[in-house]
Amino acid sequence: MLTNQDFQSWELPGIFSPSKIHLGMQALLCALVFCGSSSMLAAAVGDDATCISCTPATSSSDTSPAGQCCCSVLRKAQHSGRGQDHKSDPPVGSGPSTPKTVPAHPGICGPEKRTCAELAKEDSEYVALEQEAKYEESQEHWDVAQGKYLDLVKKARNEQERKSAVEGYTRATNKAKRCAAVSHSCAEQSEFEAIESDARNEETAKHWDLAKSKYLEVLKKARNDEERAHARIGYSRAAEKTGRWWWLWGRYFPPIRWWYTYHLATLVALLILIGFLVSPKILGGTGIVGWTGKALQKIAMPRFSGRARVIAPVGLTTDSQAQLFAAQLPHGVEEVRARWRRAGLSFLSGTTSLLSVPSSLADQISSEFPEIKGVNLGKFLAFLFLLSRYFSWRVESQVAFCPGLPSAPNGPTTSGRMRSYASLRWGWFTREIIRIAPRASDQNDVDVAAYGVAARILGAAQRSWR
Amino acid sequence: MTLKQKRGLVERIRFSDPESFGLFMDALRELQIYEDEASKSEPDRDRLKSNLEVALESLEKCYVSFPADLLPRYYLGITLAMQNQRDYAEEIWKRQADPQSLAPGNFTPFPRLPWPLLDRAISLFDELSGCGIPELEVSAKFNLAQMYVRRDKNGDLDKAKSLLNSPHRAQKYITTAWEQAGRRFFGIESEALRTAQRTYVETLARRFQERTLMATVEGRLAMRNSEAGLDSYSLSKVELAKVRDEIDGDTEIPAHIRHDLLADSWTKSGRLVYEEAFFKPEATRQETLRQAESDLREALMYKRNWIPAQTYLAQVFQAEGNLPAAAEQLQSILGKH
Repeated sequence: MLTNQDFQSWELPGIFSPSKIHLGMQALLCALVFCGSSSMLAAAVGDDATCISCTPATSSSDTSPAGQCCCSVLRKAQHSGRGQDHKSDPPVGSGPSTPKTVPAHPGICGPEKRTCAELAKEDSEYVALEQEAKYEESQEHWDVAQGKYLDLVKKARNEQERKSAVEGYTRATNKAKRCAAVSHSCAEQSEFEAIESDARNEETAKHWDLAKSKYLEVLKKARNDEERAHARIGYSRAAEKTGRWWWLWGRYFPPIRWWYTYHLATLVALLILIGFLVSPKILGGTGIVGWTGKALQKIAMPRFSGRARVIAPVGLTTDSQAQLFAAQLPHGVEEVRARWRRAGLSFLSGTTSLLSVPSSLADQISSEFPEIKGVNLGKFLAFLFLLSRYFSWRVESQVAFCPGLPSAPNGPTTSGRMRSYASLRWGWFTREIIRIAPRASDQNDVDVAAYGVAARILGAAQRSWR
Repeated sequence: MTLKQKRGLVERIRFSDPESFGLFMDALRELQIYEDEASKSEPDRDRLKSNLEVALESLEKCYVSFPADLLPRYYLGITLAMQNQRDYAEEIWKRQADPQSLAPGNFTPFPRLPWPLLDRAISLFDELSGCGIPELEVSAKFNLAQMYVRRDKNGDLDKAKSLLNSPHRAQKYITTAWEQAGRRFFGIESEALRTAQRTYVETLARRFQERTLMATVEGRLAMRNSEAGLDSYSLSKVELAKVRDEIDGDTEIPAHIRHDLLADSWTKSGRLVYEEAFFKPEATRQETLRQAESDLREALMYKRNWIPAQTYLAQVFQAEGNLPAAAEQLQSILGKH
């Protein structure tokens, strides 16, 4: 809270002197007009500034235009930016949180009185110029930044600003001198440094052919003897390596290059390769490859949770009813379930007086029966659909009807067989392979084959829950 | 039983391979088709024969390829018994064509032949009676007892008797508060509750069957043992009737199981009376045979075209000299030629 005493302490000398009381009304009007525009001033100098007192332009000593007045600005103390220049001002008010009031430009109501609008404009211009200089500096446009900082030095309104501007100017000048020292523009210098660094990186990576060409480029762009010598040495080093026999032969058989370039890595790779090749002999089976495949299967392949899709079966013979078989397969699953339920529910077994399987045991098995869905795969299904199906459990099947043959010339014909093959798969892994060949009267007699395949799929599901 | 032990038992009852399950289900399908065909009044003979053969073939293959799997072994025992039942009926049928064998002096109430299929079934059930899974062990023991009674060779009835003295009692499943609430509010029962209730009913029913079989065994032993006298035999018959009355009055057992039990009880009673007829003088034999016929007809009222009852009824008809009636029953068992 500001007190009257505080106000008085910021009063400019002579404003309320008795000899000028006749100007009271004019001062009041001025205060109303200009304090109303204090928010505009605050925006220009920061939110912390408020016009707290105005004095009308009075005598001949005033340089303000008629009807205007000079301005004193109240500011809150700040700890950053341009507010720092008020840190040394005396505290105003009693508490620590009380804002300080400082005149933005002490003494402006003297011979150089300016209006609040002028002050705000000047302030804005300075801030804008300072931002521009910093931007140019960040973009490494040293020459442009140099000019901007010079302008800032000229426009600095206090020692702090001047000091800051001079520092910036010195920085930009030093940087600009570096480019000038090699008699090149900054852009040219950057390009040269980029190529040189690239050449060094290729050399470190032992890409000798690339390093050679990069060094050659550096050599072409060298602007003084020092740079030229450095580039020549690099080029010679790379050329020496690319002239070796292993480099030349390595063009046709890269492992030679690997060996001479990365001894340890190639040795390790070679040992691993030998390990892979010899592993079947030591571990048996397909060796490490097989073990890796099994491990991958263990990690990647999910457990058969009891849901599989039936992919449209393939008819192996012209008269095979593949589609009929596909349609029958889900019904086969239902039949298996129903028959199992019946066995579990009946007390006596079939036509005997023997006991059937106890229902508690039958229930344990039947609770794990999977669901098999029939899907008819068309030609134009989307790739994503196929992909999602590939990475889900599916049943791929083939069916062929083999008609019966006469057991002897002119003898009776034996019954035909419906040969059915199915595999339960996930991705490229095969979980089960099913092969059955029940008797069939004709190519449409697929129900027994479908039942047999379905029963074995359900069997795979109940086994996978172990 | 701990959860781990229970889990171990579940692991043991599962099939070791999809092919094992597939073969088992193939056999089960054939057996059920056989059962459906056999329950017809005029079944197809070739079909019956083929179904049973395929079932037996699948189960044999399954047993040989996957000997560790218990359920195929259990069903192989049952299927062997079914095949033996058929062979027995074929043997009875052969008598039809041989009037000499039916002559009063030559007639034997039961064909005395070796039954290798029964022997094999007995060995399978014997293995299973010590398999370590309590539910399966109990059923296997009962079936083993049945097999001994059916074979009825030296000491078989005593072996059956010792197997039937099982201490198992039916324990009613006590529902938890949650299950009661679920049933009250949603009107549904949990799968575990349903299984437990079925197990309870099965245990009750099995107890009745055990008592029935025990009474039959004791009756047969009493009949053959001249020292035991008629009182002991009569007591067995009274016990049979008493158990039958209890079955009839038991409301906890569902109707289809009750009918199975009553059919079995009447069949065993008819079989006992049929045997009794041959211990009686010629003058009263026909009367006793009529009693046996009546019991067996009663059994067929509960279970139409039930092969055990039909087989004994055919034998009763042969003993009575009613060959057409015997042929009718045998055709119903074996199918039309």
